[in-house]
Amino acid sequence: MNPLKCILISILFFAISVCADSASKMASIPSQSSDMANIEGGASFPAHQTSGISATNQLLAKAFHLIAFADCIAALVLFFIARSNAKTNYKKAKQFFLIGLVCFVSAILFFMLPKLLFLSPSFPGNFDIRAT
Amino acid sequence: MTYFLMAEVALLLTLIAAKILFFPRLSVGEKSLLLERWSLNFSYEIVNRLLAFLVGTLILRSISLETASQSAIYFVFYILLLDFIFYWRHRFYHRWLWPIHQAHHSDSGYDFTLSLRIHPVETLVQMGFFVLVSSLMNVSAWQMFFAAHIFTIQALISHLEYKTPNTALLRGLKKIFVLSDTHRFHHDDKNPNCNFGFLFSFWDTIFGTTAKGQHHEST
Repeated sequence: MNPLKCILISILFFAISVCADSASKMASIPSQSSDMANIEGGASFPAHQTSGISATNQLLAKAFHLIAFADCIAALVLFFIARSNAKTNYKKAKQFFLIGLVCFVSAILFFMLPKLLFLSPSFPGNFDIRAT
Repeated sequence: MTYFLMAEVALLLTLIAAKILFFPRLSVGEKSLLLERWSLNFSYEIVNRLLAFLVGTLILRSISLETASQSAIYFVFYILLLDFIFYWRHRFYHRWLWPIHQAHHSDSGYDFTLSLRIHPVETLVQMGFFVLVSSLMNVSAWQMFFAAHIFTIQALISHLEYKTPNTALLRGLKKIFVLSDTHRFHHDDKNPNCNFGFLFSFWDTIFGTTAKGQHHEST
């Protein structure tokens, strides 16, 4: 498959997912502000009522996912350059491939870290919904 | 679920590291061929992962998985059923949908990255089967993800280029599970249409698709 097609397909699916994400949130959550946070003495950011994840942490998780997506696109472009140079310019291909590999690994890290950090109930700012 | 993914990623990174350590021993021609292959195979992996994540998220939002049973026996039955379907799906690809599956067989080399070289349409079909069977069997999302990671790790293991040692234990295991030696026969041009098994090799024994030279090689 042509790497350019790969990039275009992934951008298309990302756009669909973002649209679906914002549409479903608009429909299901009328307001992001939490009364619970105000009653308890005012957390600086309102918490998500159903998950217990603070809005800041949700935003950070989203930012990390966006970085992961950008890393994926960068890796695809770098792998494409590496592939087209593999037979003619080995040194250049090797450099691009290794940078691409770093982007690939960092994409995995940026994708997994929010689950372990910001989206974890024990992370500062969040509360465990099961305890309420 | 994150921990399953971490185990899978750890295995993938270990295999990449092992190959890179071996890299200086290769000739320049082999190195450039490896770079060419890996660049494409990893590109496939990125596209497939993005596709699986985005489509999977959309599907999981629209369906509700009601857990029927959390027992281990039920889970084993679920895995068996999935693998049985994957066996026939694989045969179907070779018989009717070869242009899609050809992407997986068109690699000039053989190593674990071959398991990443899957056409995006095939990924979508695979996900469709997964969701369909999981919904029909009412398994939990947790069991579904666990099964998905078992199959992904198995795909990496079955495409290893290293030969398994010829011990009694491994010979016995080969009769139940698909190991790298077994699956290599499937990618050999001399043995077309054999060893279609994904996780369990006994489907090939039952349906008579075991490679002819396999038994001579393993003894």
